[in-house]
Amino acid sequence: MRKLTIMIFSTMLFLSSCLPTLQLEDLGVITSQGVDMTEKDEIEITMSVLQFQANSTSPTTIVSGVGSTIKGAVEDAGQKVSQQLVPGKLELEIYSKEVAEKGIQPYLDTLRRDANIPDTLFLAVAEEKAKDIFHIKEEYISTNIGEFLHGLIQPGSEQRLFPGISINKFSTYINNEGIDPIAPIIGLREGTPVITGIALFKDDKMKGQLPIEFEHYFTLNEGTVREDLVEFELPMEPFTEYLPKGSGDEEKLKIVALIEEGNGKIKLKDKKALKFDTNIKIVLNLLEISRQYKLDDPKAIAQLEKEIEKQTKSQYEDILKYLKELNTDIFGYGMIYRTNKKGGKLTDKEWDEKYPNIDVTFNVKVDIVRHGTVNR
Amino acid sequence: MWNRRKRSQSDQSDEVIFPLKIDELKNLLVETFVNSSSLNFTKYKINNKNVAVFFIDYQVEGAKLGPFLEPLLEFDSDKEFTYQTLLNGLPLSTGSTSNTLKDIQKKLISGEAFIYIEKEKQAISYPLTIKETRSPGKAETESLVLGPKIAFTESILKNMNIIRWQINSTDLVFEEFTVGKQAPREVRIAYMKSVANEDDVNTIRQRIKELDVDQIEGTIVLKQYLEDSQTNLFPQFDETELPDRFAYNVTRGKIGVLVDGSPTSFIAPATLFSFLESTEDLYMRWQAGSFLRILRFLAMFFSILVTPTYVAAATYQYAIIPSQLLVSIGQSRAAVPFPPIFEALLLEFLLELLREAGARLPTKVGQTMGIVGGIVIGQAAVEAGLTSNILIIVVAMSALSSFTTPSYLFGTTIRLIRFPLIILAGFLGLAGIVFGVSFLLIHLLRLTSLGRPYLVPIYPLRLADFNKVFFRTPFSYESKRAKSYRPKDLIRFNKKDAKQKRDIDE
Repeated sequence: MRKLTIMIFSTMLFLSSCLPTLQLEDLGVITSQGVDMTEKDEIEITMSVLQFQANSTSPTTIVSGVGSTIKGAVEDAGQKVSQQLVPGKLELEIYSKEVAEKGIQPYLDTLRRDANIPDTLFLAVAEEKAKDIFHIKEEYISTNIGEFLHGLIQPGSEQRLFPGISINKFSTYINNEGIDPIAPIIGLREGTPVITGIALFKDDKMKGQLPIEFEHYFTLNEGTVREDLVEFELPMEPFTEYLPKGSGDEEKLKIVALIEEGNGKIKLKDKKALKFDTNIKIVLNLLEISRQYKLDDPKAIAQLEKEIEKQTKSQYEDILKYLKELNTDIFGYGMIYRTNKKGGKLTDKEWDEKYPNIDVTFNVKVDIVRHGTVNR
Repeated sequence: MWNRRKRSQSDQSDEVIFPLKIDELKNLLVETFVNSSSLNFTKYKINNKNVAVFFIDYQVEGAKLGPFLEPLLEFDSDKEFTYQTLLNGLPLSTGSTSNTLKDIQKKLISGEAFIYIEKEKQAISYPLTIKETRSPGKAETESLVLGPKIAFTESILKNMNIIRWQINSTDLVFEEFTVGKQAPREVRIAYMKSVANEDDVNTIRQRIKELDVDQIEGTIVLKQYLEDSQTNLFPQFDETELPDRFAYNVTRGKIGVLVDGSPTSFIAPATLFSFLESTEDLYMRWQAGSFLRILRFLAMFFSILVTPTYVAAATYQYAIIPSQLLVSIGQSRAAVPFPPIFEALLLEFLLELLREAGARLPTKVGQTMGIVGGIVIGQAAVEAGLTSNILIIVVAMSALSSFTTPSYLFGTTIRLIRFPLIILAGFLGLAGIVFGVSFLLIHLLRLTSLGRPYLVPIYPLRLADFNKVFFRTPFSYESKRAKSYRPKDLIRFNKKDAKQKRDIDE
């Protein structure tokens, strides 16, 4: 018995090999990367890499590589730095518009299957070339570019605000017939990267885009939204009786409100006629209003709610019209249709034909619960 | 051959040696007694009878010698001088008689003074024992902020006295045993007759009785002899120098053991968690008590795991380090020429050196030592590029956590466990840590203390005992003793009655 134990232990000791070490100081940790196409149809990857040197002020360097595959491009970039490039901290991948329009499925595949790449990876689309975002001057931003880009995307995702689209979510939507993904568009404004819009995908191909102001229309539809700032511009006429005279004469009433709680639900009304109901419920906290307004009058508040409802509804209808033109089903009506369909199966082709013909009624319910002290 | 000779020798000393002449007795004693040089042998002639008084002078208390000798020397010359008349005049009680050489020798070394009247059949002796002890002082190894500060001393009589005043109950039993063949020592087991589990008492009784050793060096040594597994790293009985902790455990149904000449006691059975308990938890309010207990519990895990995790993360699993920390760890690591495992072992070794040096040095030097070591060496090591400053913090945290353990023995165990885990982490990364921790867990599951599971109340699960082990509840909720130890009497007080409010109005 004892001999056996000793034998087992010694075989374990002598016949096992060592793990390859990944010592932190020998690594170049990729924090974000951008994918572009060169003129020769090769993939060009631009990466922001953390490199560690004692007493250096800026640990980030920008490296780029060219190859016919993603891995090949990373390998090419690896030859330009002294350390081994590792993707374990990859937090953001940006695709250039050109790449996104061609379809990002081939790039997602390697991201999804490589176990070293974290599942918390976010995706984004660049306004033009992805590498432009990485080659900004550091003085415009306070931290290194990798961290900055991640910070740009990150805070939203925790509160279920728009831009955080993780790789898992994206690829699920691609493979799902009745729903299509969106992604944030990152562009440069005065040398600083900002989120400028929403990229609308049809499966893995980018088809169109909307300005970022529309983000809450998408997030509301997706589930519960909390603590999101929205802006409304309403026509002046319906409010004239609640506006004190002579306080201004702008054409629009501008309102900023915080969504305390909002959610949306889609219901299939009529399967044959493809009639859907989208019920949106928003609880608002009024923060700012461009004109003096009789907020202590319940009727005035009711009027405000009514106008916001009206406007939100028409916005939704406009968005849907645009989506129908692009034939991308961001709101996921196809999923609802599929779950209500006999057999529960829906092919891409079938839904592509049916989608432009769906009839959706938007029922928006707005509730202003808070507007602060008025009589002071 | 050896055995036979030894037996024949002892046979001789078992024989009755009296009646004897005084001179013969003296010769006999000087010849056979190895300590004859310190033997005080005096001859007197009283009422025409030769009388010998003998004792070992350093074992006998001088002040008691006066009342002992006085009635002897001032004996009324009219009376006949016999033992009987002498005993009537002696103001001392508990005299005993002996008639064999062995008996006399034994009594002499334990501090009895003998009177022998020539030609009598026996000698009488009185214990005038002097026993040098220290008076009870403040606890040194287990210090408390609240609660009694008194600690056990080397004298078992004093210790028993202290405990008697802690538990003033007729229910408390001090059972006496003698352990050691060559140099016997008095051992006492203390338990509450109506509470302590009978099996446990029998087990410890049997273990002490069947212990066949020449001598024991003290409580901690006896503890090691009696433990379920001597080869084990984990202590299986709980040692303490605090009478209040001893009393607390004994009243809850455990068994305490005291050894003469040893200022510590131990309590059986113990669990892994009893080493993290302190009586201070009881003296605090229950919220603070619970907090401290949970803190100590977390500190144990922290102390074991934090350095290995650093090593694993810096060697293999860089991805678990948060992005913001990654930069600072990476930059401080970049200056260090060694792999993380070597770096960590070096610093841990340095810390252990400091700790050991601090414990060995005289108190005054020891304190400066700690400060010099901690601040100067740590700073210098970073500047010299031997370690990263993040690791200094990590190691300091783990050292600090290991100090929170109330039991010094258990603290030492935790100190030791860290090293194999660091090595495992250095070779196998996080998988190594998981392997090591699993191994420890399996080991702990199989451990027993006095035949009772070591991980109770987690395994076997006893939810009702959680408030005595992991946290504290207000006393009105602690109406029962811990079920895990199967006490004879589970109920401490009436739960309903304790919750009743007694207002003056009622």
